[in-house]
Amino acid sequence: MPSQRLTDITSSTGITSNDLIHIVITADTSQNPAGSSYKARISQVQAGLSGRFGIANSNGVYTFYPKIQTAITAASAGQTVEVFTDYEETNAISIILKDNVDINFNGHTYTLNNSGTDNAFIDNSVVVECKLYNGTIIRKGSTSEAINTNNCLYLSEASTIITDCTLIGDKNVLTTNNRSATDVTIIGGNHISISGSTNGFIRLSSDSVFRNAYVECINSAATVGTIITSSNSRITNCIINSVGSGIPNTISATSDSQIIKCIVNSESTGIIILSNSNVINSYVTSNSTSSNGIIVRNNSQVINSTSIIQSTNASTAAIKIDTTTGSTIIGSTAYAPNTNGIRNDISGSYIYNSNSYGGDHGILFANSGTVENTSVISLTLNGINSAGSAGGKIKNCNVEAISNSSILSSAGLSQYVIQVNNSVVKSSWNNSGGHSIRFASNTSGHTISSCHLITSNSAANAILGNGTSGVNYVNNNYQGMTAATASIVQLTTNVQDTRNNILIN
Amino acid sequence: MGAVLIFLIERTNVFVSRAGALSQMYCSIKVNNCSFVSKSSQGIAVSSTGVLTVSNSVVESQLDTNAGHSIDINASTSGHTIVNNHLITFNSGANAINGASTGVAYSNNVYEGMTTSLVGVTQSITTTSDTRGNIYF
Repeated sequence: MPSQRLTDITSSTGITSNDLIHIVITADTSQNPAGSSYKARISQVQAGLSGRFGIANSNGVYTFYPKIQTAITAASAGQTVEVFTDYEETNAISIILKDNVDINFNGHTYTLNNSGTDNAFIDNSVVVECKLYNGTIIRKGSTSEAINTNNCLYLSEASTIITDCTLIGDKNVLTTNNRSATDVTIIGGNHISISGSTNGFIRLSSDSVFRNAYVECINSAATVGTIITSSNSRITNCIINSVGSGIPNTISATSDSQIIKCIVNSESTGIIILSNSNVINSYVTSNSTSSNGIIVRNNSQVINSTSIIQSTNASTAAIKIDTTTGSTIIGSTAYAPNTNGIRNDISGSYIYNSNSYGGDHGILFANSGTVENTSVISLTLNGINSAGSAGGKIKNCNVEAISNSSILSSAGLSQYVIQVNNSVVKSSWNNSGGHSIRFASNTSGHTISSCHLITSNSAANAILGNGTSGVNYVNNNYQGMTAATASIVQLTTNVQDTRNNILIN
Repeated sequence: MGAVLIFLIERTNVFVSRAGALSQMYCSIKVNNCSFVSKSSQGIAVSSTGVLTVSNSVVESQLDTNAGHSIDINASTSGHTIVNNHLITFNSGANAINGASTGVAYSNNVYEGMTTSLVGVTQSITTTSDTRGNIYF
């Protein structure tokens, strides 16, 4: 009779982890040089051969750990801790990252579900460089929005973290609280807040870099916060979607910060830069009916960017310059079908090589500024309006108003005058009020030279004053009207030479 | 025959505080639809044998001395063209175009801020404009 082989034996059923097996521990030579025999429960074998978290040695053999912190602590520099199951931590525990130890989540989710204020992962005030990838980190169970609490990732030193994973927080998601004011770098990942945070669910400390990331606030809430930076921070190549019409701005950047190649979709103000900061090559939309697209303050610049808003608030604009010192807009597009394209509230501001479309004003100069090489269109009000006590310089521009005067100077103080040179200024309004340029007050010293002034109604004027508005108007071309000028006083007494050169005086 | 280097500047805005908005040394330059403002020097300064063309531009010097010319061509050269510009000085003793026996075709310019528009400049246009302001040269 042939001997029975193991494969001939009927498979057992009803095996539990308490059942016993025979095991030879090769490292134990007390019974035999080849190893010692023992019984073992199946559960003991499972614990030795698998686990929630593991580290592979150079031969690909894993050592497993029941806790991720235990695995990270055991890992050597250059090793990767792998996650083999979804895991929810309900105790008040922050996982401390280790320098040069990566975490591969293998598609799994790590959740910190606790009502306290702990952050899910931290650098514990030690500089760390590592990569968190291929998984999800969730922080939930707490309603606290306090700064530095309840983040998926909290860094308090100059760490560099590649977050090639998804971070989801009930409130806060990511905070860098850099005490030593050197670089903190966060690269990649999806950063999602369920309901936003009053203090911003992503807070970047001084000199931080945040790039190649997707940021989203899922739910509409009264206190939606998105990204708030400290000085010298850079946000590059990010997509930020903020839902909700809350108080904070989608991106709020303080001094000397840059926002580069970002797409911002907001239901409040898209971006506010507070001083000496830049928005470069970025695209901003705001669905709010009362907010600005980009607010520019204190010697800041908007360069090669686009801002589109749906605001109906007459004091807002797709790009608005306000507060203290002048700022600059270069090569950018502002589109606001229901309010102003660009609004300038600060003397000494510049708009270069840009496009501005406004349902109200194309450009509203609430204070003096200069606009050069720019195309401006307005739907209902003026293409460019110099309002209040402001003046303006308009050079090499195309300005068109669809249903109003194209340029209106309503300045009331004589020291502020407007200068329009080498520009095409057109009113498409087929109405006797559709003037090319109109002065609503009797100020004096304005200059209009080498312009093409066009009206669509013969009863309108190329230049209309308020009775005694004093204007140097020379070398202009007029088209569309019967009377080119009305109610203005020519200030220039010189005449052209035989080649049409003229000195205004 | 040597190569002719021409530098073209269009739709460009320059605002400088410590130098000329444009200083040309060794090549020919064409400036179209630009705005140049210098706070402490000439708007455009030419000091070589290159040829300068400036059209449809606003050139302003805010240097408040009689050296604050809008355009300064410090070379006894010819072939320069300056048309359809608004040339501004802050100082009434400065000039819209200051040359050194320089031949310039200048037409349809507006000068502002000075007492004397042109010094050291020879008009190279021999024709005159028609009654509609058009001119051929």
